[in-house]
This record gives sequence, structure tokens and C-alpha cells, in this order.
Amino acid sequence: MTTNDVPLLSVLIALPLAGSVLVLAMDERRARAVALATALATFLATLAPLFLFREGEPGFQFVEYRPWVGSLGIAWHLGIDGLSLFLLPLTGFLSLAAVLVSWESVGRKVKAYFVSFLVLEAGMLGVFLALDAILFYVFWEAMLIPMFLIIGIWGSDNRRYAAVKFILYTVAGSLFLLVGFIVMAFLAQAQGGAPSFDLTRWTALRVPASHQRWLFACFFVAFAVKVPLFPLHTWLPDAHVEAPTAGSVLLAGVLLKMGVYGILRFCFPLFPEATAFFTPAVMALGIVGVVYGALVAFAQKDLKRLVAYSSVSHMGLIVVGVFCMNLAGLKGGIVQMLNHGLSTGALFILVGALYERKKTRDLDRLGGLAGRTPVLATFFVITMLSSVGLPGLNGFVGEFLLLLGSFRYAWWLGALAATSVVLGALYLLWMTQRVLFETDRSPERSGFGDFSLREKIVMTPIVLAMFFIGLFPAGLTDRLEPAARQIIAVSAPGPAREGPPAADVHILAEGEPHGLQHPRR
Amino acid sequence: MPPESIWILPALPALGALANGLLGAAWRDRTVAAVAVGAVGLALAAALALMAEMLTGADDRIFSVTLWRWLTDGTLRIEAGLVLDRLAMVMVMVVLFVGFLIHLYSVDYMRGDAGYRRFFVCLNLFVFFMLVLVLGDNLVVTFVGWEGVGLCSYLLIGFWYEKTPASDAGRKAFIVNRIGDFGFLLGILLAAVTFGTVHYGELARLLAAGPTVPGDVVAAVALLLFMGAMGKSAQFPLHVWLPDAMEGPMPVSALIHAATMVNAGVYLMCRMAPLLERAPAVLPVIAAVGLLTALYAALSALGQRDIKRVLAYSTVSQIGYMFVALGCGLWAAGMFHLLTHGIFKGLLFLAAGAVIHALDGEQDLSRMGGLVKDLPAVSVTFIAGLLALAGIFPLSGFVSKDAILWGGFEHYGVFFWLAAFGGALATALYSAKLLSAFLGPRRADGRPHRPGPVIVAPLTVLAVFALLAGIPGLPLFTRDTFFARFLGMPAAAPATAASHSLEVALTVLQSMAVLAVLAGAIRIFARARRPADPAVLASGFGIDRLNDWLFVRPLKAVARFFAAVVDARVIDGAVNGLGGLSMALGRLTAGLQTGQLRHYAVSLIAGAFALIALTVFFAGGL
Repeated sequence: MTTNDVPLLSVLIALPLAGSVLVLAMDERRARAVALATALATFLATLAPLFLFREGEPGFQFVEYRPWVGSLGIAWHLGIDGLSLFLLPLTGFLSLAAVLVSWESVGRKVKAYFVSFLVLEAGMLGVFLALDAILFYVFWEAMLIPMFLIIGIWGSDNRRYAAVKFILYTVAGSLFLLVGFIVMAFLAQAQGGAPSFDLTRWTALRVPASHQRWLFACFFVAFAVKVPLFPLHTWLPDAHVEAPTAGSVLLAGVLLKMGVYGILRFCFPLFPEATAFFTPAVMALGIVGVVYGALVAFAQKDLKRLVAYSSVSHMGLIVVGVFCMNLAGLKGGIVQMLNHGLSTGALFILVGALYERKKTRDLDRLGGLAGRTPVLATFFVITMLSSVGLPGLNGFVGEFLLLLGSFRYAWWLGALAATSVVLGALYLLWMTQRVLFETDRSPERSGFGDFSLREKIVMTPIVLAMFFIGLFPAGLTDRLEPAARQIIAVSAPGPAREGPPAADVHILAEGEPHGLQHPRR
Repeated sequence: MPPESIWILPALPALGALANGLLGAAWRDRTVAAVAVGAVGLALAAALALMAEMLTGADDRIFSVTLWRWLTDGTLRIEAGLVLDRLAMVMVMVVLFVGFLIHLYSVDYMRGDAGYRRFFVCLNLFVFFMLVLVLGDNLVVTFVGWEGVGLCSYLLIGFWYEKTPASDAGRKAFIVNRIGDFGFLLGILLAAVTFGTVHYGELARLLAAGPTVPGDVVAAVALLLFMGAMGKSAQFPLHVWLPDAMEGPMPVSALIHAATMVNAGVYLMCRMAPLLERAPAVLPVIAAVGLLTALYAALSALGQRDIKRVLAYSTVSQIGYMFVALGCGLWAAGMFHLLTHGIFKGLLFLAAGAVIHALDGEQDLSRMGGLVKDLPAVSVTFIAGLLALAGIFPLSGFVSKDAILWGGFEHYGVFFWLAAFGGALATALYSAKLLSAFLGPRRADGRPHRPGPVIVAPLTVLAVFALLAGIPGLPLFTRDTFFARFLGMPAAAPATAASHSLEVALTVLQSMAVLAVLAGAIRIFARARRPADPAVLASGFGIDRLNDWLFVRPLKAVARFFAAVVDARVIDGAVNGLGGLSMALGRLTAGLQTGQLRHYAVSLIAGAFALIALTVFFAGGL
């Protein structure tokens, strides 16, 4: 049986949706188990592309194409390349982790809770799989609703403010995106005869220079909010603080990745001249974010706010790296998306575990946990070191490539970006000291134990992945290198775009989506 | 033993750490200790076997192995590879020999501590990372070990984490090291971008091939790597973490903060010798930083009351001398001082640990005296180490330091020599201060308890080596010592060769002066009333307070300002203000307090539809 017979990618999206329907049909007691089984099955399914992916081959694989609204050029069009390949298992795993960490902490409206998570998972996977702009937009927005509910219903005290702030920020951004999509469809009509929302056709279009800058801006604002790029970040700390643990895990681990993913998928290939034009400004914002996020994180008392601002710093570095538009920077950016998902997701899991035990996230009221909960402390330290970018762990691989890319772009950019090496240690070690070391400052000194088996099961694979990526990154970077090369090739501004596109950018026949030209082996 | 099997050296301590870390919770302390000590002991045995093979083989016998490809970027290829040449062999011997003795010592020294297993896991892990650092065949692998030993240092300084000063000290060590590593990492990147490789062998080949890279770029790489070395090896002004690092248990101070890790900067510079030789402008910088550190730290040591802090500043000072040697291009002399210092300073820390244990945790020198009567075995070994440190003829410290002072004279003239010599005299002064703990009257009540054989045995072995380790540095008054020949790193001749008789005369003068100062100072310090410690020396010339005012406080103030004002008021204020504005425009101001966000939403959605309608209208004309 070839992979073509099984619409693998559609199955990926359908699995969590089917599970959510099943959860609705169950009683509360069985709902958890069904949600867990669904998340596990989906995670295993997201692993399949890792093994079936043909390394070194440019373009999309596992492509599915069914016309949807033919007259408008909208299609059910899915595909995977090196850029999305590793984001799928990340999403699958963190969703599974989200179900597991919610096992005991969620007491009310259990069914609605797990339904929300499974719908969210379907939406997230859809965003990474969609090759049709409208499809992308549907998933993009569909994902917001469950996240809005998760924060707004199962969040803490100030959850309404945070939920509304989250959704307004994101919706405001995505409206610009929709405007951009519609304009692009008309452009496709003007140049190809029929309107099209097909992303693979859009990359072959020549967007007139007069339109590039404002179109780029429309797309970029939507994605920059998600990254979040300084100064569009203030929704993030509020959302994290109010969201339940599982919500924070997926927000930091997966949703933030969609910003950079969108930039790489849309902004770079569609608007190369505008990308080149805006690069200095975006890099400046990225560098400011690196330093600013780190310093603000250093000044926080709430553990979740601290981790939230650390994301602003880390994601700023990723943005700087990918805008260097060289191989090292792009590979580093993609790798670091995965790494940040692992380390920050893990940090939020740990913060949640701490909160369940101490009922506080205040750095002035924690402390001394290394003695009481050595296993939790060990996981905490390893995760912290992954975030610090200690060589041998995953964070260093991404950081090294990002800094190499920045350095190749300009030595002073590399030097500015490398300040994150010191700044990251500043707040992460401070956090560790206040949580694990010194003496216990909390009122709640007893009645809690070390990691349970369930918590160990959640954290162990993450830590193993951190070591594995840190020690053997070539397996990862080799697989995503063709995607990075393709991004560079199609994003080269200037005359290169005027002539025939670069070798691995295929000129598409009328109505034929990209990717189907590769016969399956 | 097949030469490719050098990976076994780091693998053994790693296995020890893993076994104790994952399974050790169920084991008795005795088993935990046996695993940890056994792992390092086996690694030492393997290293000795390799050493024998190296000595019997050809002169340029090098063991190397490439384990796997770590990362590629275009033509840049970074591999996980190890190499054991003679330079690395010296470090491996120091790390495993001193490391083994200190592991052994810790079995007894740490007994009864609640974190017994954690201690040995970290100590094994440290040896693993140190061997990775030493054996790495390229800058990135070395950097992995480099940061790894930094991590272990952080964990072990803060070993007694309930104490806030210990936690603070660990954090300070990590962050100050990271400032150095900022330079190291940029150096790696610059090397990777300019040479297209980070492999030591490739770099040496490229550099030997001729001036393909502009000299100032080579100098920049050298300076950046030196910045990393300054952090790890505690050179002024990045030395501030080492005195505080004494919060850690004594074996940690001996192993990490005296004998091995802090010397990694010296080792790195020797590794990069082909590069430094192509950057002649950098050598005086290294020599100057080394000399300044040597002097500064020797004087600061003089002002300390805490026996561990005296030794810590002394370490900073002695490493300064190693950098002086490197700044003169005397690679072998620098490495030789590293070797002898590793032995006698490791000994001094361990013996001081035995003293502190015997006195129930007393670290104040002013409360120690006449210990030679109570603790004869420990005292004899301590004094042996101390005389070696002071550079008394013919002990190991004399041989290694003499070569450095003479190198300074030859390369940088008489004033440089005078300053370096002044540092040597200050060394004699604080050595006398330390000696006074063993001589003179008793200064504390109670009878000290004598340590057991597991503590005394390592001390004795180290003391014997402290006396004899000068032998490889013979013959005196030549660059062509046994040690230099073993290393195969000949020193370049200085521009103006001074006369041989002058060298002999200076050595005699130095030895006499050091002896005189030592003897005189002992009389002063052994008196019942000792001279008070000058405050300026005690605080290390106030560098910590200066850093606090210059960097720490402004940084914290800026962070608080960003968090409380910029983020909360300016940026978020603008966001909320935008919401308020759209609300006002929509004239939906019915319920200011309650409906704010809902109204904002309504106006936003209305605006969105208007926007989309406009877009479709205009875009239709494309």
C-alpha cells in the first residue's frame, strides 16, 4: 500500500475531531480516557511522516488535493515539507502532554475542556498542513475559539480580561491577513486567469513592486502578533498567567510557532523585495525583543510571566535569524522553533506541577524545592539548561545556527544577538535559585510529594528529545535543509525573480497544484 | 588498547554519573562511592595505558577518533571528534590523577552529607565534561566540555543550596563565565566564518600554509577566545566569581577551582598556539592581563582571613603567572606551571579541608595556630605544598615559576620582571600567613580530631608529587626541558637574547629574596598579635562593590523600569488606549466600566467588515 492510498494528512486532522465527537458522547469519567486515547493516536500518527519523509527532496510531500469551491479557486490542499515536518510531532506530543497534565487539575466541565483541546489540536495541525490560504485561514481562526474558551473558562481569576485581550489582538492581526489573502487571490486571477488561493501557485506569481510592501505589512502584522514580536507582545504574559497549565503549554509550545511559520510560508516567498526592504526594521525589533524580553523577564515575580517574557526574548532571536535569509539562520530558526516548543512547553508543565503543589507562582514565596522534590528539581534544571542553550542540549543547536546565521549576515548582528547568551542565564538562573534553592518561603510546607508516575511519563520523552537533538542534530537539520534552501531560492529579491524561477521552484500547469508532479516511488 | 578507543576516557565517568544518578537512589553510600571512585580509577588506568603506548611509539603519536557528524552548514563541517596528543595527555593526567585522589578523599570527607549521591554524580559528571573539553578535536566540542564543566561548577558551588550565599555564588560563577563565553562563542563563529573550519588540525594547517587571512582577523579570533579563557580561568576583571566559589565543598574547590577547570583557559590558549603565533599583537595583551591578575590577586590574598579565600586568590594569582608565560610564547612553561600548580594547589585545598574538618568547620586563620602539634601528618603535607607554592628551591613551584619570571624579563624587560617578581614576594608573604596556622601558639579551644587514612593517603601522595614534580622542568636555565621536549612545543627565541649568567644571577637573587621574605613574615604572623588585614586588600580592592554599582544595580533598575513603566504603562497603555479610542469613535460609550471590551469587539468587527468590503472593491480592479 502506498501512502497515496491513505490520505495521511487528512487523517491527522480528522483524528482529533473524531475524538472530540466521541468525548461528547461519553460520560465524564470516560471522557478523559477517550481524550487520552485520541491524543495518543494522533501523536503516533504525527510520527508517521517523520519515517516516511523522503530526505533531500525539495517541495511538498504527502500532498492531498481536492477542489472545494472551484469557482473561487479554494481547495482542500495539504502537504508537508521540511519546515512543517517536525512541527507536527511537536504539536502531537504537546497535545498529548496537555491532556495528561490536565488529568487531575481540571475538575469542572471536563467534557467541554477535552473537546476544546482536541478541536484545538485539529486546528493547529491544520495550520501546519494547509497549502490553501483559505483553508489556512479557517484553521487559523478555528484554533482561536477553543483557546479563547480554555483561557476564558478554565483560567484563573482575571481570565476574562486575558481571554478577550488574546482574541482581539489575534483577530485584529488576522483581519489584515484575510485582506492580504483576498488581494492575492485577485492577483492570481489577474496573472493566471482564475482566482486562486493555492499557496503553491501564489509563489509562482510576480507580485508587483507597488503592492509588495503593504501586502507584506498585512501578512506580517498578523504573524508578528503571534510570534510575538516586540512591541506586539503584551497579550502573551496576560494570556499565560490566566491560562490553565495545558493552555500555556500549547500556547507557548505550538501557537507561537505559527507566527514564524507564517512568515516563512507566506511573507518570504510571496514578497521577496518587500522582505528585503523591511529586513533592517524587523531585525531591529527582533534584537530589541531579545534584550527587552530578557530584562523584563528578570524583573518578574510571577513564574509564568517570567517564562512568557523569556519567550519574547527567544522568539526575537528566531526572527532575527530567519531574516538573515541564509542557510544557517533559516535552519537555526526552524530548529529553534522546535526547541523552544520543547523547552518552554516543558517549563510550563513544570510550573503547573509546582503550582499544584505550592498553590503559588510567586518567586518570593517559593524556594527550597530541590530537597523536597528532587526528581521535579532534576527535570526543572535540565529544562532550564535547555532554555539557557547549554551545549549538548537542544537549545544550543538552534542558538548556534541562529548566531552563525546572524554572524554571516553581519558580525555586529551576531555580536548583538549573542548577548542572549548572557541575558538568558541571568533570569533563568535567578528563577531556578528562587524556586529550587534557598529555603522554602511558602506557607504550604507539607502535603505534597515528588513527581508522580504520570508526571514522569510526560516529562521523560521531552528530556530525552532535548538530549537527542542536542547530540545528534544532523538528522534534523539534514531533513529541513531542502526547505530552507527553497525558501532562500524563492525569496531572492531582484532580477532572479524576473527570469525563470530557480530549479526547485516548479512552474505550475494551469489548475494543477504543486507537488503532484512528483510521482510516488 | 586500540587508539580509537580514547572515547572510553570520558565514557567511564559518564557511566559512573549515569549509574549513580539513575539507579543510585536505592544503593548504600558505600556502593555509590565505589561506583564513582571506580569509574575515575578505571579511566586513570586507561589513560596510563595510552600514555605508555604514546611514550613507546613514534614521537608524533596521536590518538584520534571521529564519532559522528554533529552539524554541517554549507562547507562548514562540525564533527564530534576526540584527539589525544601530548598536550591533551598532560591535561588528561592532571584531571584523572588529581581527580582520582580527590574522589578518594571525598569518600570520607563527604560522609554523612544528605547529598552524598548528588555530590558524586556531579563530580563524575565534571570529570566527564573536563575530558570532553580536553580531548575535543575542534572548538565546538571543546565548548561543549567548557560549558559542561561550568555547569558542574555551578551545581557544586551551590551544593549546599539552602544557604543563600552558596546559591548566589554558584549563579555568579555561571553568569561571569557566560560573559567570557560570549567572547568564546563569537570567537568560534568568527573562526568558522573566516577559516571555514573549527577543527584544530585544519586550523593549524591553514595557518601554517601562509597569510591567507588578514592579520587583524586572526588577532580578533585570538582576543575573543582569550576572553573566554579569562572567564574560565578567573583573570582580572572576570576573576570575581572564584573567591565566592569557595562556598562549595572543599573537594570541589580543590578539583575544579584549583587543579583542573580554572586552568582550562591556559589549555585553550596552548591549543590555539598556532593561531596566537600568527597574532603577535595579542601576546602582550595576554601577558599584561596575566601580570596584572598575578599581582592583584597575590595582594588580595594577603588581606584574607578565611583560609579558603587566601587559597582562592592565590589560585587566581598563579594562573596569572601561567598567562604571563603564554604571553611570552612559552607554551611549555605555561603548561608546566599548570601541572605543578594543579598538584600543589590541589594538595593545599585538600589539606586545608582536613584542617577545617578537624576544627569543626573553622575557616578563620586568626583562630588557627600550632596545628603542627595536633595534626602532624596533615601539617607536613600542607607545608610541603606551601613551600612549593612560595617557590622555594628545589620544589616544583620553584622550577615552574622561575622559567616564567625569566621569560618575562627576556620578552618584556626589567620593569615587567620587577612587577612579576613583586608578585612572587607577595606570594611568599601570604604563604607565611598560611604557615602561621601551623606554627606558634594554639589559638582555639578544644582538641582537633585527626583525619582517617582515606583522607591522609591522597594528601601524602600529592605531597610527594609536589616535592618532585619539578623534575620534568629540568634542566634549569634552558627552554629545552624534558617537559618541553615531551610536549613538542618549542618556544620561539626572544628578539634579544639576554646572557645566561644574568639568568642564573636573577634566579639566585629571587630565591634568596623569597626565602628572606618568607622567614621574616613567618616571625611576624606567628606572633600572638598578628597585624590587622588592610580593608582594601580584604575586599579585593573593592571590585565587587564597583561591579555592583557599575553593572548590577543599573541593570536591575533598567529591568524594573522596563517591566513597570515601559511594558505596563507605555506599550500596554497604548494597546488599551487604542481600544478606548475605537470605542469613543463608535460612540458606544454607554457602560465605560463594564462593557469596554465588548464594545471594542463590536467596533472591531464592524471595522473589519468595512475593511474587507473596501479591499474586495479595490482589488477587483487589479
